[in-house]
Amino acid sequence: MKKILFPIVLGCAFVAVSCEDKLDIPQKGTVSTLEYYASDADAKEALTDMYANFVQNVAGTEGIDNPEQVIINYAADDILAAGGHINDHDGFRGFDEFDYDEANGTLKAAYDRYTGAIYHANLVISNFSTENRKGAAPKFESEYTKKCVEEARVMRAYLHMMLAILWNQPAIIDRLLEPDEFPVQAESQKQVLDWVIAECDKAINSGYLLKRDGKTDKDATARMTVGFAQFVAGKAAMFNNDPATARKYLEPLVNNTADYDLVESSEYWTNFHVAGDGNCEKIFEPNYIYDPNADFWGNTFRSRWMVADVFCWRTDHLASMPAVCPAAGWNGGAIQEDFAKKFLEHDGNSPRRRACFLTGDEWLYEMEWNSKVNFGTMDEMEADSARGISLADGIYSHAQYFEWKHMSYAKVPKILAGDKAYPSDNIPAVMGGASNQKNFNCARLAEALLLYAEACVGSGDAAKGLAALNRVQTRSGSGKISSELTFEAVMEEKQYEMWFENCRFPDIVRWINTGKLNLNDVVATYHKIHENLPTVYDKFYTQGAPKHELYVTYSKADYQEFDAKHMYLPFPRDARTANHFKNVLGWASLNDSSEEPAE
Amino acid sequence: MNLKKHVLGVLLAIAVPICATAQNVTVKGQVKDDAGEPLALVSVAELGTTNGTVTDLDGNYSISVPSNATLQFSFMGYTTITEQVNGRTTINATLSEDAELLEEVVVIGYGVQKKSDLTGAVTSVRADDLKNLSTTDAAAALQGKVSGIQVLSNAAPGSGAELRIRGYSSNSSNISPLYIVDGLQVSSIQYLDPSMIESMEILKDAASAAIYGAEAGNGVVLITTKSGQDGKATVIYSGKATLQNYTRRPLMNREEIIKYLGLEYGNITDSEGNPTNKRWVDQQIENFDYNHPLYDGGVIDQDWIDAYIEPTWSYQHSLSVSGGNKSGHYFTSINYVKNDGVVRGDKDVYNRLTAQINADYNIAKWLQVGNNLSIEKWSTKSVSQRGYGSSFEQMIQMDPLTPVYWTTPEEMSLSVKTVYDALQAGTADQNYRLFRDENGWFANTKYSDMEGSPLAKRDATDGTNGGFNINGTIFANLKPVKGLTITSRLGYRLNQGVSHSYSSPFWIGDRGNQTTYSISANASTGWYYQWENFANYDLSFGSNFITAMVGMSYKENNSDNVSTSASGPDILKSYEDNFLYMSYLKSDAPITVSNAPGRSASLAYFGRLIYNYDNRYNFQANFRADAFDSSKLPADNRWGYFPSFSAGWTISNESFFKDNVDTDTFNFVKLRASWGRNGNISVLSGYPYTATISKGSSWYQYGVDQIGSTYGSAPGGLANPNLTWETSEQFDLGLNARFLNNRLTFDVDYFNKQTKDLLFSVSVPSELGFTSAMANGGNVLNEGWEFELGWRDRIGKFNYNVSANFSTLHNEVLSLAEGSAPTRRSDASSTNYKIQTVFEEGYSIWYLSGFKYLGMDENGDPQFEDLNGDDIIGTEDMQFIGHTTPTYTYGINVNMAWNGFDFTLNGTGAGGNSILPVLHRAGFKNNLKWYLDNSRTEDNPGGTIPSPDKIESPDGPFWSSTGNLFKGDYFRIKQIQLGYTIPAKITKKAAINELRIYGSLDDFFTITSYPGLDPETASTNSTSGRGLDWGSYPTMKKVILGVSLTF
Repeated sequence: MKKILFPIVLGCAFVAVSCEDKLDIPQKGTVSTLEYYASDADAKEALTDMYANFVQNVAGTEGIDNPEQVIINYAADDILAAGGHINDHDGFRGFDEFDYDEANGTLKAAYDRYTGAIYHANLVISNFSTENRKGAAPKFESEYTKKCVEEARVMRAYLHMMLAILWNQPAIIDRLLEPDEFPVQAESQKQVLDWVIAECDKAINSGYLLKRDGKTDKDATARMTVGFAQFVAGKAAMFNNDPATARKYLEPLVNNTADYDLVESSEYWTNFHVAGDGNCEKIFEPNYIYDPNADFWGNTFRSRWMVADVFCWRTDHLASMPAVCPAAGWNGGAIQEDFAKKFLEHDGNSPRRRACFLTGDEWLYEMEWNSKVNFGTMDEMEADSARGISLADGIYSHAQYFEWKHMSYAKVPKILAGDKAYPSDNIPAVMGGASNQKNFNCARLAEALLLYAEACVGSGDAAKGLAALNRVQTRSGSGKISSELTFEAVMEEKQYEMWFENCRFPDIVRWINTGKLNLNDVVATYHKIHENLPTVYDKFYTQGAPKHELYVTYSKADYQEFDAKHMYLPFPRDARTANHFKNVLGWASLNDSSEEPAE
Repeated sequence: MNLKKHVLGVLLAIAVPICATAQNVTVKGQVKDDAGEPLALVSVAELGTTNGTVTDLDGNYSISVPSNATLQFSFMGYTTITEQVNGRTTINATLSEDAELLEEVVVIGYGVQKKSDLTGAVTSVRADDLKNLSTTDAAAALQGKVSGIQVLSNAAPGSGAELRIRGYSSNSSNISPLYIVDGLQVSSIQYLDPSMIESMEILKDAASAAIYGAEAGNGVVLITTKSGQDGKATVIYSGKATLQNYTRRPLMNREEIIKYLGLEYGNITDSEGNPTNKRWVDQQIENFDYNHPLYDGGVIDQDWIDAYIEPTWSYQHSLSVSGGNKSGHYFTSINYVKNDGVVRGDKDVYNRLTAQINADYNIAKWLQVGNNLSIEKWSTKSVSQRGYGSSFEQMIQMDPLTPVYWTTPEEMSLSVKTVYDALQAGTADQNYRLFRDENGWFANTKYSDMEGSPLAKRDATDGTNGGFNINGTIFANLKPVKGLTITSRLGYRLNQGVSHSYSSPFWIGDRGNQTTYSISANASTGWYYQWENFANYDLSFGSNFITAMVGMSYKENNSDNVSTSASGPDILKSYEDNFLYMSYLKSDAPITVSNAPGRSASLAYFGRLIYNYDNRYNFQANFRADAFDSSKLPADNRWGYFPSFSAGWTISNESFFKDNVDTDTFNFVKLRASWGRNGNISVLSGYPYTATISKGSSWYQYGVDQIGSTYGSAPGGLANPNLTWETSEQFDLGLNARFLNNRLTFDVDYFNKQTKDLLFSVSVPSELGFTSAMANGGNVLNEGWEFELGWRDRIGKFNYNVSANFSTLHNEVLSLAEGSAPTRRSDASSTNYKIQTVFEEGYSIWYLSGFKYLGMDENGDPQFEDLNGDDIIGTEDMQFIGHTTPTYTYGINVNMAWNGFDFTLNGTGAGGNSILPVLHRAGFKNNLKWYLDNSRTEDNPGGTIPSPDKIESPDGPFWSSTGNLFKGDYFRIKQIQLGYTIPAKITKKAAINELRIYGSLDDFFTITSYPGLDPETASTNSTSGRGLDWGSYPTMKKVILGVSLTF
């Protein structure tokens, strides 16, 4: 009996355990998208996520660089990709020497980060307004969500402006795309920029957008404000070759002296260091402070980990570690020699020039080395074996000028700060120094003033424009003040004032487009630069000289000639093949290529 | 009543020996084989007792037994016979060679089958094949033993071997076979000592594995642990001591590196034509070299392998007791392993204590119950290897001009001396540690920017990792009617693990330092159970034999892990040793804690039908339906169905064969073919098909001056509800044959396995918010031949067998998912090497993509193939340069026995893959001497690679080209072992049935052209990154002395 009973019991057990509902296991730590975006709290989280995405991606590190800084700045004629040798830092050289292509990883990273940031802005807009695929009403709407939507609108407009400046004809992504949807490319750069201006205008006039509350209101520089919307609309208008519209938006901004002003001349350097975060000159800079409670990689990316190495001198080629250096330096970027000479001639010893770069002598003898005879007598310092360029390879791409505008200061140098105490930029306790807490620069008043000045050239507002130009010139400490508003004066001043700040290369392109610069002249300038790439040595080490003496030799770069097509970037191959976007200018030859995307 | 029983028992116990002695006779005789040759070492035992002996060299024996006893004569490879004594005093016996090897029963999953009836590709490895192995890892024991299996191993203590059965089917790393031990699914078989294993069955083809469905896509390894045998209790002790060391010296010494650097930096001149770097090298030496008291003549010429590695001893002890009778059986075993790796000190150690308790009991004729239980306690400590900045990388790159020790502070580098002085003066930023031992401080190079001495890297972190695992099954077999067996089996795994790590600020150099304290403690707890119920029914009528099986399985896995860590400049209340625990954190120390219990579950129904007609035709069909929980698949897509079919034709049982062929020459010939479908579910986890809001996944700071983050939330990805597992379909064609009275065996298989629905990260327009989404697609082919050849024979007293196996593997990615692009991984980008591993259509998986080196031009400059003709050697010129997985593997096993001596030789080899070392760095750093020996220089005009000055930078194309690519081929004699079994007539006096002593040389001889540390372990990363040698823990040479006693 038992031997029959047991199988029956087992058979019942078969059935008992075959409950499929045991396979339904709810996911932890998540919320369904269907239930989300339904409260002020959700809106706040969505808006925070938008800024978080921006600061971590657009403003964050990618490998050893920030993609935006690379693709915009290295193409300029006053910055060279540098490093240990001719093959070092290929990623930067590609843009410096114009041999990038549509498969370039940094190009793709920059594009993806801009479009990704637009998506995060659209999460706010499409979920809390009717600006979505079907024009559906949001699950929840309040005064607070309207504020969030307008902030997201300005962010989205800014990102579109950057895409249009760099890629000419991107898509206008005016709502959240569905997974089965493809973006539609704009018909022209003008269409994008017109839309950017209209969006900014909408936000400015909505009444919901935050306004900076006085010059000491640092927190307003960390988010979208009326001031930033004005800046974006004005800059977009300049790139739209529409100075009148630019004046319309920039004038209230440059005249808003209650909320914005240039910092003192002696404080110019702080604009690029932690000491100047949120100062009165800043219009928008995504904020970052090391937060031990936040995730490690978030801190890592935001601190632009290893970008700090890149923006430091080539320390393993030096006789000792300068005190200002936060970590082993790789010297990823150098000030171009001809420009440095011009800058030095124009500015002399101005605080602005010294904030950007040091001359050879300043570098050798006014800077703090890891030496026993630091700040000793000149004889001691000249014969000091703990300073100078000890490696006989010299420092490639470098002349006798040593830039430190964007260096993450381990210790703020006395040359700039005097005896006043300032916080350092890096976070040695966390990342061994290769980090930077300085907020990522997006917009400051000096650029707005110079854009405004340029917009006034030849218009009825020339006097106002000259006043704006003079404000920048006066603050620089160069002593050179224009008495007349000319395009050349603005162009000249802007190169010094905004060096290595995302301006020079897009301006060159804009000025070629508006006939202010001749394409052939630009080509010739790049040709000359790349034919004469400097390497700086120290005779004290290479030739056993009794004292330090820097000297430069020249070699030819491995470069492609600058060409009209380089005025804009090609769409990343993935984007072109997936979206069927058309490139412009010389890159248009790729449009019919059916090659599979590479990465 | 009970008292009476006890008294009776005692009386019986006393009386029985007396009675036995009274009726004993001495039986003598000789044991011969069929050919009339005497057989030595044949076991002659009195059945049902512990009484026994063995035959001498002439086959003679003598044993005293009761006159009514039964004698059993047994010898490996021969049939066992029994003889009733019946008062006789002379009993001669003739043993026949076991012609029934093919009647061996193999485990096939939820049942067994006669080997001769197999229709799939199942390889069985028996306890005899695993006997005397030195490895303590069941997976590693298979190396060289079975065709079609590749064993990936790393030599670090405690690092378990991984298996790949019939190739590499996926772009993911989840391609391990399914491991089933005594019916229990386990994730690794590292815990199983080979001495505890009765058999390992490897289900290689899809038809055999299909009964395990969606988890069997990469093959199945079924392991049966030992059980007791009827008869006397057997006690076996074995112990061994292993002396291990690493003796290759492939790096440059002092003279060589000076020469290399002189060449590397000697030809560069400044603008005035003066040689610059030659002076640099000389000047560096002038600056930093000095007479060191610990070196001969004061000249520092440090071999850093010597500095970091030393010979060490490891030990293993094993004790087992087994036995049984008609009512039941038991097998218990305890095994202890202590493996102290060869890195100096005790930072690379593996300890394991395991116990196996197996028992079965027949409650009634129709009911058997039993259990298998394994308890493991383990702990391990390890050093960093195979990575940028790892201790092994530092060992390779440290220049030989740097001493191991600074004996005085004056010898220190400026950076370390500065810290030392500050520590002495009490002005240091932190309480830095300067690593040292009794001989001095661990020196770091002054010549370059190395992170530091490998010894300092070894000591930078203190960590322990350990835990215990309990794995077991309890089962009941019911046999209610003839032919029907119903099995209900509950399997369970309980595991608990704890790891701790602690590091405090240290200073090795500018690049090797830490300013913070870090501490972490992690505890993992897991419990798993599976309940399986299945019924096998055997039916025969006439010449028809049918076996049918149906069953179901429910599995559930739970985990509840807690991780805690803290890091910061000052986190603990005290830094004394007894405060180095999480409990003593300061109240404001930033703590990271994570815990979220996890559960996964699956449900399956399965069935099998086997039909055999007249021992000539075999057919088998399997079917399994699998469903997985919602963490892997959505509810409406959770079921998958896996069928398979196979057939076998035993030609040798056909009358036309028997009538026309000499059956002594051709004993057995069987053809078989199979097709089946499996899945690989392990690629899915973590709700990959969903897009939900990741709460608090991002943070932003609205306050410019104050710390304090606000948390944001956003969708975690793009949803793809159609995701499914990888599916493999495999076709197999095989032949099994036995010749010459079963002495010669030959097996061959051809297989063709295609795996589709790989999980790809498919590029999507970034305007959708993400740059990629997960999708199924693509197809990977694994195709190959497997040959196994064996010969066993005896010449007089000399027994021997030789077997060899050889497998080929053609691996190719046939297609990628639609919309996906080749996946390129720049795993060595931290070294600036350009080399990539790529998953691309038309190539083997994760092939090496680099530059093709064409030799040198007249100036000695390296030349490379310029694929796009733009005169620039860039990433567009990178192409296939080598496979990262072997295209063939082979093994050879030789066993001999003569007069008590036994000899074993196991060898294994692999080839067809390439290895590219990523160890070169610019500046004053060491590397393989091969580069100096092969450089084209004035002294060596025939050198095949450019002079060092032409290839200084690691990001130059040369280092990522075929110029720096080496064959990964090797043949390694894994084991040469000589043993001697002391004659039983001697050992019997000490009540020992068998005493064997042996010596073994393991991994002692390797044939390879690879100039690095070790071709076998150079690149065992499971997916991308294979083929790149970062400096891996190399295989050690071992000298083993062991003893085995059977009581």
